Amino acid sequence: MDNNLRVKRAEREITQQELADAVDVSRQTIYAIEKSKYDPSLELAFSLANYFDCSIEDIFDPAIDN
Amino acid sequence: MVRILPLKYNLLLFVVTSLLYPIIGLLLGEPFANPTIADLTVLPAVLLLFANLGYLAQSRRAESGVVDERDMQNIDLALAGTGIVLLVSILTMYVGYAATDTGTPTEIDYLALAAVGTIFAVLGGTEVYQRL
Repeated sequence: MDNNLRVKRAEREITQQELADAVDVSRQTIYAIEKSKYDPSLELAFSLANYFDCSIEDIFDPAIDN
Repeated sequence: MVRILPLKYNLLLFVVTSLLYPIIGLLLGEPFANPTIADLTVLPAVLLLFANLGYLAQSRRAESGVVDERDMQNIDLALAGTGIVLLVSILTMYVGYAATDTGTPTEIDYLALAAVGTIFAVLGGTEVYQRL
C-alpha cells in the first residue's frame, strides 16, 4: 500500500528508530512500511496516525478501485 | 520495556532446533543418526533459554522491541507454507505407497489425522467464534 510515512517523518524531523520507539515496533518495520513492502495492522496504522495527529487516510493510500 | 520472546516464536524456535538434529545428517550427506530424547529436548531448551535471555537483555537496552507484528506475520506465513508442504508431502507418501502396493505405515495415518483434524478444528473454531 502506498503511503507518505517518510514525508510525515521528515516533517517531524525524526529518524526511523525514533518513530519505531514511539509506536513500539522495530526500525525494520518502519523501513518496510515506508518502502511499501509491508502493510501495517489496523492497530499500528492507528498508532501512526495518532502519533502524527492525523487520520489514517492522511498517511496511507489504499488506491481502491471503485 | 523488558520482555521475552513471544510464545509462538518460542514454540517455533524449539521445534525447529529440535528437528534440525535429525535432519542435519540429510543436509550433510552423512548417515542418519537416531537422536536421543535429550538431543531433541535438552539442547533446544538451552538454546531457547539463551535466546530469551539475549532478547531480555536487548529489550532492557532499547525501548522498542525486536519482535513485532511484522515478524509475527512472517512467522504465520512460514507456518502456512509449512502446512501446505506437509499436507502435500503426506498425500505424496500415500500415493507412493499405493503405487508400490506397500502398506501405508500407521504413523502416516496419524500424521494425516492430526493435519486434517487441525484444519477442521481451526476453520470450525474461528467460524463459530466469529458468528457468535
